[in-house]
Amino acid sequence: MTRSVRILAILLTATTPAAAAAMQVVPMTDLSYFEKPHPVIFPDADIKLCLIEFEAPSGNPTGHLLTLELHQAYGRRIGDLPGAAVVAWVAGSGLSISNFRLKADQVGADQKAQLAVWGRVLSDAQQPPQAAPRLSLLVPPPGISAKFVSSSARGVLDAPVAQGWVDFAPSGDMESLAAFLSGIAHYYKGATHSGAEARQWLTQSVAEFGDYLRRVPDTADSGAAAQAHLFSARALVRLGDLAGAARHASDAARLNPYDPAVPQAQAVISLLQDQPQAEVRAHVAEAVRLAPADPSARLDLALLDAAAGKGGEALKRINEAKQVQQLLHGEASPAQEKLERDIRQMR
Amino acid sequence: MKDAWEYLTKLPELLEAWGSYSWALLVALAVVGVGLILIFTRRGAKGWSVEIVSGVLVVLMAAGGFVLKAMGAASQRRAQLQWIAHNQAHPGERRVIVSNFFRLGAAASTGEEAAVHEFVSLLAGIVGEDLPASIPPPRIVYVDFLEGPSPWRAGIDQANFGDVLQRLGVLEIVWGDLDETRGVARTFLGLLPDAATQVDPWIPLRELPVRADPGRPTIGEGYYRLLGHVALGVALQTLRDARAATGDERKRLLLLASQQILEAQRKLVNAKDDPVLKRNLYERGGHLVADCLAEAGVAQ
Repeated sequence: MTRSVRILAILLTATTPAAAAAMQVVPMTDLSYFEKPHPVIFPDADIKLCLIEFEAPSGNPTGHLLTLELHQAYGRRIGDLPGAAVVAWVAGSGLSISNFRLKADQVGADQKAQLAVWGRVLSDAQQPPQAAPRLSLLVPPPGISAKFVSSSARGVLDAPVAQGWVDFAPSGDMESLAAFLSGIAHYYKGATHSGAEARQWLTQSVAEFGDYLRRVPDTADSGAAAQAHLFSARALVRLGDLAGAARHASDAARLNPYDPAVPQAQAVISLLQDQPQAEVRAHVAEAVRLAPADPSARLDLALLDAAAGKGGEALKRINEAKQVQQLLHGEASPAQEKLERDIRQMR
Repeated sequence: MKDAWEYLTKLPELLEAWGSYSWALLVALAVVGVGLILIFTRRGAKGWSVEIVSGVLVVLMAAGGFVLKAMGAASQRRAQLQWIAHNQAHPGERRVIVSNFFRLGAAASTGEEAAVHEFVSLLAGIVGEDLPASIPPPRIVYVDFLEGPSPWRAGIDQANFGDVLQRLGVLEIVWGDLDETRGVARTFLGLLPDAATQVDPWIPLRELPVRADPGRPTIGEGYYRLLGHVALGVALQTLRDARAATGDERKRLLLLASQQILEAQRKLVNAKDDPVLKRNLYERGGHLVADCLAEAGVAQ
């Protein structure tokens, strides 16, 4: 297919009202577009994705084409998801996206969106055109947590969605990317609702991530694959399939051994599975090793040590957490102070 | 008389020419002039004979050449110092310089220049936008090292990039060369040698075809190497700042440096098996993190 026929085909499908999902393409013909206020598009949507045309060198249509392809592919996948919407902003005829002063996160925030995707075309002479997309979780969805009770302490172990972005390896395969984004959208919806519908959305989220993982080999994009496994694990925890969640979390740890969110999730899963305390603690300790500047992981470790009756160790961890908090943020958090008081009383 | 006047009018031109001679040649000419005077004086030449006048003229021209050359050298030094001051990083600023691509062979065509400019712009975009959150993007500055007063007009390479970084007070530099015989542009990234005591001081980024379509700049695996080494450079600078600080500020910077390395490791996990990143960001970076945390007193 020639380039112009391809552009025409994509534009035609983009404007065809066949898709049931809330979709819109906004062609920008005015360079000062983002300097003016605009009404929120699809104001009633609760899972909105803002797509910004992938940046490419001027005269190269790859970014424009891949953005429209992604818009279509994602729209097809969220047709069954109530409240989901996607809006794509593309440069008008004869203009380049690089001429527009914009920040994708700001566009997403102005549009009250939950997700924003943008990126850059990174061609390789020997390969077809590719884009390196980036997903921003503007409003992070809920993570997972587990309560624990012991003779000496009680508390909640949290594994929040702390990473606000996902980077994807350069690829020209927009269908796979759409599967990942749909997995995230379904997880958002399922994790923020309850009941039978929520279970259905979470199940669909796992299916979409599974589709992504089948399409993209681990070796091609281990960072994004690890995130797909991690979100699958979170969804399965919510669905009560702890064995399945543990398998996905283990795959995430194998693919990205540098992400502290993975051992945090593994700790929660181990706790829910009633695994020995030593195993839970090992996961939390790994999270601290990977994020030494995060005081909350050190606090979790203190809680576990307190629960195991090791008050001295727990106080040492709290002191470390306080030190980190004070060094990076200026003052200790109320949660640390309270935990320290509790442990001192306990001793 | 007429001939003498014509000769005098050509004196400035001659002096300028002599001023361009090397120091050794000027010394040799002065010796020749003095020699001529001595030889013909001993042979009994009296007064201002043609031979003596010639000898005196050669000595005077050599002396004039010396003076002009010394003035030229001083003026060039001043211009170089001004050029360096103009291109130096501001205090506290983290700057990455992108230099010209120096040709190893014949001159490149306009199309090739365009490809190189697109490439430079691509690098600037990546460094400016794609680093992890805890790493403030360094300022990307293009420097034309071919400009007249530049002390490095012959080109940037593995041998002199450290001198460039040191004298300009800059964190890192990207340079490249166009190898016409192989039809490729090779790109490199160098770190301030003082900061890079524990990692490779320079790494190859990417070879790109010089005849690439300017609309399709190529970077491939160089994308991860660029981000990894720039991130590492910023973290090493943070570590240098920590070494210069005391008390809680020192601890804070040590913690920040470890956070920067760990975030870069997490972000660039797709390239963890790249030999350059594996050696520097993951293995040596891991040791640096352990050292930082131990020194900050928050190691587990």
